[in-house]
Amino acid sequence: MTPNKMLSLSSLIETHNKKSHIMQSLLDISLSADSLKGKDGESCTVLHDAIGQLRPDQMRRWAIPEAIAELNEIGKLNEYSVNLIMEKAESLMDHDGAMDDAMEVLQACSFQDIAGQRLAKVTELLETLEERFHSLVHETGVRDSHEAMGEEELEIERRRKEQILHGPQLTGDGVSQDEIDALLGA
Amino acid sequence: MAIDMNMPILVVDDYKTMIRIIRNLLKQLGFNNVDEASDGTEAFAKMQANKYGLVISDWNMEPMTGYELLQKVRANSDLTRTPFIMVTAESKTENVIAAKKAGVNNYIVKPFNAATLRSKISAVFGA
Repeated sequence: MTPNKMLSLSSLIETHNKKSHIMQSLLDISLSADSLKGKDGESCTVLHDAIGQLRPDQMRRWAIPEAIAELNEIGKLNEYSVNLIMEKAESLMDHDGAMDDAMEVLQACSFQDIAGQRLAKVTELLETLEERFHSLVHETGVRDSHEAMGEEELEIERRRKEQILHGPQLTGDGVSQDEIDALLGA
Repeated sequence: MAIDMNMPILVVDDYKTMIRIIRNLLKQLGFNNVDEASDGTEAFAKMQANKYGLVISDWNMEPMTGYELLQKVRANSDLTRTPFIMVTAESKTENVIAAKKAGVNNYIVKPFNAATLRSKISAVFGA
């Protein structure tokens, strides 16, 4: 790889890190790959490998959809919990002396509106990113590099499997308390 | 069998909010002797130093998970009979089966309420 080409890739990564313009960086990488086609075999290979290490196919097939599903679930849980809190706060308002506290509880519930808007914003960004990864895979034909998984990442993955750590299940994905009771015979 | 309402209960969770909720639920049920730990390692150390009548533990914690804590407790001759309830958002069938094999007494999926906690504690003590 020539120093100029290396500088070009470094500046892309710098842009990515400093400004968090992930999608733009990916687009730039994709465009650079196109412009390098047929020019410098070594540079193309390095760039090809760099894209592979982003594991774009895994990103669009699994990582991003899962992140979107998690965000949607957070939104649903927030909504459910806030409705419950507000319902109880409203009934407390009927009691003497509890009006002020109940009002504060109701006011604090306004976080759900702001949080919901922020979640929607991030979800939209992820959906766009998912489309870009799809284009990147389609246009460049790059395959995910499994060498990209470092020791630390492998260790985290191994521990997740060993300790059966899935995190909270999405709605309809896990088992219900009744099913758990049946499994335990409790 | 009557439940000893004064038995020391150890609540293990890495979220302070969850510990606070479980403490309040236990208080509502009449249990006031409640201790806490923020992960399996701290819980196991506390269990070796103090005798608890019941452990209520989350699953997903670091550095020691609730699952590891359960395995360590069941492998320890002094602690092996300690009643252990898993309270977790991990609700895959494989989690429940793994916990059962490891010797869990009951399993509560989050979110839950005081009635569920009461019924599971009663079930553990055959009350």
